[in-house]
Amino acid sequence: MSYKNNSKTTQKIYNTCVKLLIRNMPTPSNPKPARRAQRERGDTVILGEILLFASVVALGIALWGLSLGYVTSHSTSLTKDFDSMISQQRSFLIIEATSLQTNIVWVSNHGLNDIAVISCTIYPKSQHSPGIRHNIAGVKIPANTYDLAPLRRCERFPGPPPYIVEVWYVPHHLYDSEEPAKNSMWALVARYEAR
Amino acid sequence: MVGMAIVVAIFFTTIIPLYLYMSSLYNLFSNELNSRRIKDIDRATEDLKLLVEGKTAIYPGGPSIGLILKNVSPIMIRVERIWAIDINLGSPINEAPCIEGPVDVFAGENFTIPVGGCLNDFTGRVQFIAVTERGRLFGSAPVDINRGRLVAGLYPYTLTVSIINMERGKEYAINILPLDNADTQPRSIKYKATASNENISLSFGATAGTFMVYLSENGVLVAGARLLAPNRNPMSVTLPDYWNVVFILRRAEALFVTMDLEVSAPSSVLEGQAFTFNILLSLPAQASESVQVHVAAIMNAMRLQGDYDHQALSCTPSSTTLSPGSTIVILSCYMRANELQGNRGQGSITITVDPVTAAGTGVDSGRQYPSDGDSVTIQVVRQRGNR
Repeated sequence: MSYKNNSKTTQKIYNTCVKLLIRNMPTPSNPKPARRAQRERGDTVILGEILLFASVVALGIALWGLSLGYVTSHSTSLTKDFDSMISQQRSFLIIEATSLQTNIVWVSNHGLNDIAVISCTIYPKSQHSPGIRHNIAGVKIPANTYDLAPLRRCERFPGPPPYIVEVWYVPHHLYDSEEPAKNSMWALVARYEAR
Repeated sequence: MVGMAIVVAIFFTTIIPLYLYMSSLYNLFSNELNSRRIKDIDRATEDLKLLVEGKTAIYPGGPSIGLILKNVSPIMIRVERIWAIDINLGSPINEAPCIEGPVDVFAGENFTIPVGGCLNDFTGRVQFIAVTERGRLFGSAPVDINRGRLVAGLYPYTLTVSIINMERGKEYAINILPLDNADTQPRSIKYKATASNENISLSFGATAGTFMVYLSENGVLVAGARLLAPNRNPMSVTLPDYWNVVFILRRAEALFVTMDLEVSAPSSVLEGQAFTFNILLSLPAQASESVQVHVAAIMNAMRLQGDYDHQALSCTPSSTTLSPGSTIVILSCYMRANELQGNRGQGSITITVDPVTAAGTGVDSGRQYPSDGDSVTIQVVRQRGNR
C-alpha cells in the first residue's frame, strides 16, 4: 500500500517537473531566456532526485524499524517460553510419605528451582485422577533436598485403599497468584501410592 | 541501489541476529535436557536394598533392631531420610521421619543403622523407606514389631555349613562363634552319620558379620590333614558377602570284600516231592558301602544235576540290595524230585553255584564285588508205598 502511495507521489513530482520543463522550453528568437530556463530545468531535476532519494530512505528506515520491533518482540516471547521450559526441566518434587490419618503429605524438592505447590489430592487408586484442584495457593518449597515440607491441606476423596497421592506444582517464579488457572500451563505432577 | 542497501541492512541487523539468538536459546535448552537426562540416568542407576535385622536378648548389647542399607549399585548413594511407616494405619510412626541427616553408602558397601529408637513400645507392622538425595525411594520388606522388638525375621541371612564324606557311626558337631556384633541361631548342631560317605548341609539364621565355624568329629576338632577342603579348621566366613562353608573330609578307602553265597536246601526229599531252596548272599560287615546284586549273573552260575524234574524248575528273585553286615535271599527256587526208576533205593540232586567275579556293584564306588561259590547235595528217598 505504501509502495503504491509512494509511486503516485513520485509520478506527481515527475509530471510537475515535465510541465516546468515544457513551459520553460527556449525559443530561437529569444536565446537569453532559453539559457536561464535551461539552468532552472537542471535545478528541478536535482530536486526531483533528492525527493526520490529521501522517500526511498524514509521508506527503508520505516521498514527497518518495523522489522526491529518484530524481532525484539519475538525474542522476548521466545526468551520467556524457553525460560519456562528450562525451569520445568529443573523442577523435581518427590512425595516422601503421607499420613492417611491426618492427610498430611511430606514432600521435598530435589530440583534446582524453588517450586510452588498448587494442588494436593489423595484419591483411591480405583478412581480417576481429580486433576488440578487449585486447593493449595502456591506453597513455596525451596530447592533444598534436606528440607522436608509438610502439606497440610490435601484434599481426600472417599473410597477404599490403596490411595494415590497427587501433588501438582510449578516453578515458583512462574507462579501467577492473580490468575491461578494460568499456572496449569507449566504444571508438573508427583505421585505416590499410599496403602 | 539505496533500497538494496537497506534490504541488506535489515537482513544483517534483524534476521541473522534473530536466528543466532534462537540457536543459542535452543542450545541452552538442549544443555538443560542433557543435564536432566544425566541426572535421570544416575537416579535410575541407584539400587539400594533395605534389610531389617534384629539382635537377640543373648547379645551383650541387649535386643535391638538394625536397618541394613546395602548399596548394590555402581554409584554412591546418599540417604537423606528414613521413614518407618505403620502399614496398618498408612502413616509414619510418630508423624515424623525415623532418621534425618545424610548417610553416605558407597558402592558395594553395607551400612547398618540402629532404628530401634523410633520403634519404642510400638506394636504393629512396619516398612522402612529410605529417601535418597537424587530423589528415589527404596523400601524394606514389612516386618512385625511387638513392643519395639522384632517378632520374626531376626536373622536376615542364612549361613550354610556342609559336611561331605562323613564316616558312618561317627558324631559330627558344628559350632559357630560370632565375632563382634554378629549373631547367629543356633550356635551348635550335632549330627551322627548313619552311612559311609554321607553328606549333609545345615542352615543357621545369622546377621551380617564375621563368624568362626568349627567342625568336630567325635568331640575332637577335625585336623587339617583330615580335610580335603578347606585347609584349616575353624573356617572364617563373613556375611553377607559369603554365606556357606563346605568341609570336605577325606574319603575313606572302600574295602572290597567277597560276598558269601550260600545255598539253603533240605537235606533230603521224597521222590516226586516238590520243594524250595534259596540262595542267600551275605555282605561282610567290613564293607564300606552297600552292594547292588546282579541276580542274573548268579542264576547263570547255578548248575543242577541229579534226579529232578527239569520242567518244574522255576526261580524268583527277591531283594537285590545288600548293606554291610546283612544277609538276604536273592533267589527263591521251586523244583520237584523225579520218581526213582528201577531198583534204586535213593537218588540225589546236586545244586552248585560257581564263584562269580561280578556278583554285585558297589553303590558308592561303582566297583564290582565277587561272590564265592557253594554246593549242596539233596538226597532223594524212595517212598515206601512204591516198593
